[in-house]
Amino acid sequence: MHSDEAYSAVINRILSGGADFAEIFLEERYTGSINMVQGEVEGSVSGKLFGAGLRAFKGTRSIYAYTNELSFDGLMKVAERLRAVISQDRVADSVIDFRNEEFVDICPVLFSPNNVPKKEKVRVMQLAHEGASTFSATISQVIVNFIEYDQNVWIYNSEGVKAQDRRVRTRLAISAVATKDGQMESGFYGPGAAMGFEFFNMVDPRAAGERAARIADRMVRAEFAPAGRMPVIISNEFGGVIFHEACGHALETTGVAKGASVFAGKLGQKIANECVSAVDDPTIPNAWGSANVDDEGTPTRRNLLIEKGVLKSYMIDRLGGIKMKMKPTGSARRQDYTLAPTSRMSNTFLLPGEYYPEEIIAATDYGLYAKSLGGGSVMPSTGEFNFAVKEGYMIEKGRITRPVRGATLIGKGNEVLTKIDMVGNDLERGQGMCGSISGSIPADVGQPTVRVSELIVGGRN
Amino acid sequence: MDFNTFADKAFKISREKGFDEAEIYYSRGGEFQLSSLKGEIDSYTDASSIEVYFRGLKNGKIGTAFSEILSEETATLLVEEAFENCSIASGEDVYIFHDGTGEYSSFEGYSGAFQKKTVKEKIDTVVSLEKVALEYDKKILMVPTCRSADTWSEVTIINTLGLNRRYKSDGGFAVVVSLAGDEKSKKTGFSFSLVRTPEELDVKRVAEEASKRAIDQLGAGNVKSGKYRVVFRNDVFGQLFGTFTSMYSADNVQRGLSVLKGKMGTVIGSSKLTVYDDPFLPESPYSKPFDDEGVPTCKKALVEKGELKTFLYDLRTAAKEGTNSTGNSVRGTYRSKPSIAPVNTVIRSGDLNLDELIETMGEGIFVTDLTGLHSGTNQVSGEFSLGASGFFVKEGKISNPIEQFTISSNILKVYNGIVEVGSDSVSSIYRVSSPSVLIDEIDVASE
Repeated sequence: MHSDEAYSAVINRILSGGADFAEIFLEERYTGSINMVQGEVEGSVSGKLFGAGLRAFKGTRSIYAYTNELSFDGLMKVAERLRAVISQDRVADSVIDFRNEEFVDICPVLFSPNNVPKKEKVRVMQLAHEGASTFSATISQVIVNFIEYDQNVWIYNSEGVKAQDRRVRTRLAISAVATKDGQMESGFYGPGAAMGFEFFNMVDPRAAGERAARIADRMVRAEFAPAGRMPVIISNEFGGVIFHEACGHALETTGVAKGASVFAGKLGQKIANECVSAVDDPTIPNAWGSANVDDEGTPTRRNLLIEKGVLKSYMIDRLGGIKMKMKPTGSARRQDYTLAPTSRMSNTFLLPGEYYPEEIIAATDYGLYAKSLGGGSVMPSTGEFNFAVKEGYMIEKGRITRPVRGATLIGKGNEVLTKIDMVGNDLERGQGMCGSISGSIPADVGQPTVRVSELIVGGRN
Repeated sequence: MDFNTFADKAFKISREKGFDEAEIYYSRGGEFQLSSLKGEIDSYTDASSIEVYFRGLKNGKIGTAFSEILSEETATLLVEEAFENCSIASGEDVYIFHDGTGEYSSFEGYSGAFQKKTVKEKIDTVVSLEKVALEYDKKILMVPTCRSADTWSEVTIINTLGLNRRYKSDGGFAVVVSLAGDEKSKKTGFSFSLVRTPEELDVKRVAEEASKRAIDQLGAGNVKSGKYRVVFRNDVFGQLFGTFTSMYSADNVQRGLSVLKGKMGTVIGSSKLTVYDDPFLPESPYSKPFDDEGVPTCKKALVEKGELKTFLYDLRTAAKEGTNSTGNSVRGTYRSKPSIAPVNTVIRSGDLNLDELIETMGEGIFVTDLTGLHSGTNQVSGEFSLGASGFFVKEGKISNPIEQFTISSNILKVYNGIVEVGSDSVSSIYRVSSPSVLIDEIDVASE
């Protein structure tokens, strides 16, 4: 690390080319992953990332460069390249008076990844393997991955922001395959948190393994889901991926600032049924998508996105804020120093409503009960989304009857929000990796059980 | 610290620590990206990076560690981290290194043509890409994504068995997404072009293709659920095909995670289907003379007239079966262990052009977009259920655009259902070169 004066000099070098704003993002990260197949450790890979991402704005233009050369001369060389792109002379020589961003750590860590022997991690993985492999005779393959990192970031910018944050993440990811009569189906469960090894005081690895196995076992016994338009009840926790895809991405500045989002220009308007309220909250202690400051050094905060169906806020990063003439919301995120940040979701979920989940099922004559969902994707400019049902059941005459597999849900985000007609009281969050232009980042999705009055279910005829 | 000094240092520490053998994979590279919005450069990325991996062998077990700086301190850290990783390895698999023998192709993947272009020239290209897309038609509202990029990399692999190889490659791509709209709807169109030199980029074709695709989809309606004959557009079939190439990995086969297990030498698809892995495909920036374990790459048929000819192997999976590596070890991202994959998948093209293919279909669906490839596919069972859009085809002609339907099937059912293969091969993302393909029956769900 260099002195404040050194970073000030690098920033001034960029500004002297005529930039309106300049920023340095430094990252040092230890990251490790252990892969276990059928109870045996087949691969363990770990190491360190070191890098710096330098960024400049001129108007609404963004210029980005990154390097592994972190010496003062190395950073100055990159600053010079950024300067040359804008190439308008400007005097910038006053030393920047950095204000340190102070906060109370919302993600304290007890046992950091570096300080726990890998043998301990393997022990946790073995428990998960046992939980999955002994669940049912149909389980033919179990793969367990242990993923962890310890990221330290330092952010300096020309407006005097100086921030440092540490993000530790630990995740156990279990894939189980069930085989029956020549058919193979897989189940996945991947709990994680912004914690160190103490995460396993809260999460039972054996139960996590059982859960992945349950999905595979149920699905290998299932028939293909029927196809067509029907009511769909989406279970709580990872079911929140529907909101994440159908709406969340379209509230990020990547789409909104260009006007390329179905929700652009809709602040204050009703975009969802009255029973729908949603937040993005990176301030939940030790949650998978939490952080003290965002990747631009802005303190994070809870953002109410939708209140009783009315659009209240977008998620805004610094550049998006300039384009939209709005203030950043502490939502700037990036995978690592190789990518410029943009506004992203953190922990995003629908708020609980009034119904018990059983009441929602009882009120549905015929439809699909999507118990577990896989990932999905969306085109923000049209709102078209899709996602996979990993564990599904049919609802007939108000009761869950039989398991069904191979269903996909498709629709348009702006339409589905108006079609959510019942919201349960059983809010839970689940962990995922979210991909967009600033890379792959940990994000929580969440919701209580909800009913969508109709969706297209892709299955077999 | 220069690389050779670093390698000597790491190998020395490795011996002291107790590894039997050691290997270093070192990659240097750069990327340059531009995107244009409303006639101006919206974002600009100029980067350089290095990656270094150390792998140590002890009693047939392996330990891997990586870093992004070359220093004496890093050399020590890498070896120690790898040693701990090796100490927890279990199972019966035996890892080996390649000793550098075998015939290496003189394949040259580096032209340096992108490096010679000035920033100004690159800016002009991407700005005109957006301009052409925007001016294609009044119905184009904007071009949400208009990006061009070029990258270069140099990979060196050296080990204590005598392997010492190096290659350099470069290439570029352009991607355009156009947004079209009328009173009733908004639609996006996507176009992508992979090139080896800046001259190969056809700005007009890429830009107009994205805009035309968006406009053609305007006013899309629904289609009735049912079973349909389907033509997949070349790039779309390439995406679908590429999503399932993990089933050729000997690792997945050996673990029972591939539907191709036990099918070697048998017929797995239509006699119209022939597929190669071609590591020397001239137009692909992924082409290379050796894989990420330093083993020479080679061209081979995976499927010939419907018959499964070979699986893909790295050193470990080959040793397990007493065969040779096919040169298909892929390092991928440095946060996970290497995998096995084709370098460039090439589906052999047929005689019919796209119009003829659609005419042969008669009635059915022309699929021009698939969504959910990372979530709606089961790579173990081959099942898939994906969001789609495209066109309804009547009497051998494209009739009307359709949207919001899903297609569901199994990849081997698709292999077997291939009726005709087009002549319009294109290299797309997913490292697949594919023509348009006519499939006899696929489940379609919508209304």
